[in-house]
Amino acid sequence: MKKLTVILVVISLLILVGCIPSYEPNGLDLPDNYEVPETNGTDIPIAATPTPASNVVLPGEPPSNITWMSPGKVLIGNFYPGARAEYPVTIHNGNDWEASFNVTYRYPDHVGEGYTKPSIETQDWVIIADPTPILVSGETRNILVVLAMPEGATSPSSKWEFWVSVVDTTQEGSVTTELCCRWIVDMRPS
Amino acid sequence: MRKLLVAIVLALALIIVPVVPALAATEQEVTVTGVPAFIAISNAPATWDINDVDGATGKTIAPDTLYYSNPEGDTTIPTVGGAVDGECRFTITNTSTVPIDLTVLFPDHTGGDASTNSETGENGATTFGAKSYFSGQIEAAWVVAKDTGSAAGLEDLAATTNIKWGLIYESQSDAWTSGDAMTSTVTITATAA
Repeated sequence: MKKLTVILVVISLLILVGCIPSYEPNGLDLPDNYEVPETNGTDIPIAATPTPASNVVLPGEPPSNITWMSPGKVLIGNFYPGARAEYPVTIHNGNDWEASFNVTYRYPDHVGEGYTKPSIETQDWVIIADPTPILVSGETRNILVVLAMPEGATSPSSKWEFWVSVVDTTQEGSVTTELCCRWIVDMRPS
Repeated sequence: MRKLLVAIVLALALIIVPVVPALAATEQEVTVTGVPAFIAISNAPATWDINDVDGATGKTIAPDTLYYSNPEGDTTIPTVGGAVDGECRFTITNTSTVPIDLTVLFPDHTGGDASTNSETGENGATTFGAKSYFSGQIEAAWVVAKDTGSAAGLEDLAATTNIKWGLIYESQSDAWTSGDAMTSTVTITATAA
């Protein structure tokens, strides 16, 4: 009986230890060699708040006088009606001047092999926290993008894609540039 | 002792019961992965006045005519066996850290005759045709520049590699009626390949 009691106590302790959450860094104190981690659909790896470029330099980041966006792709797996996925699009203003940007849902011009273009209603599932940010020269900012598919909604297909567009609206001239982040969605097998 | 055992078993049951559904849910969790990469391009120059219409006296844009953003002449076709750098007006400076695709959109005009994009690369009555070409591409690879939904004009441009490119514009087949200027803003889009 004593042995059984000891065994049960040990099992209890093992279970309790296993339940303690491990520490994961989050927020603005990112090391220079910070790598964007995978998330579980609700965690935001980088805070969705303005961050001066001098505070955060990501590995491989282009020179500070270049306007860029990151990441290039967001891969979403096991998505389903009623689910929510979010990820920040990071924008850097490489201009010498304060620049306004348009961050918008973008119907893709083309999609990856095996994927389809989204349906019309998909644009209603995408929420952009700040679609018209104004960044001072050299500023880097994270703009949270949320894909929230309503329950009961019909997926465009089992594999589909949409883009998030970033345009510097201070560009002048008749030939302008646009940077797009590809959101590639794999639905959960039914 | 029995009481202690019962208490421990109950405690275990209380701990395990809430854990079970969490373990079950893990299999169905949505995964979100950002692929670390920077997408960055700039383009210069940022203008093309077709047939130098805005910079020279007596220049006009004729109907039913092919124009090229070719520094060797706006009616001079680039080398069909492979356009060369000198035949490309624009330069993309690419500081992206991954291979990228480049896609060109040429929207409908506003003002004047408001000529619209035929989306076929060929002109027609009240519609213009448009294509893009990149240095090194043969004529068969020049891609139709649509109002929306163009195919990629250039795929898999290597990271931090610049490229020169140009536009082809075929003016509408019928005569102008308004005599007023019309404008369109071309967009070149970079996406991760």
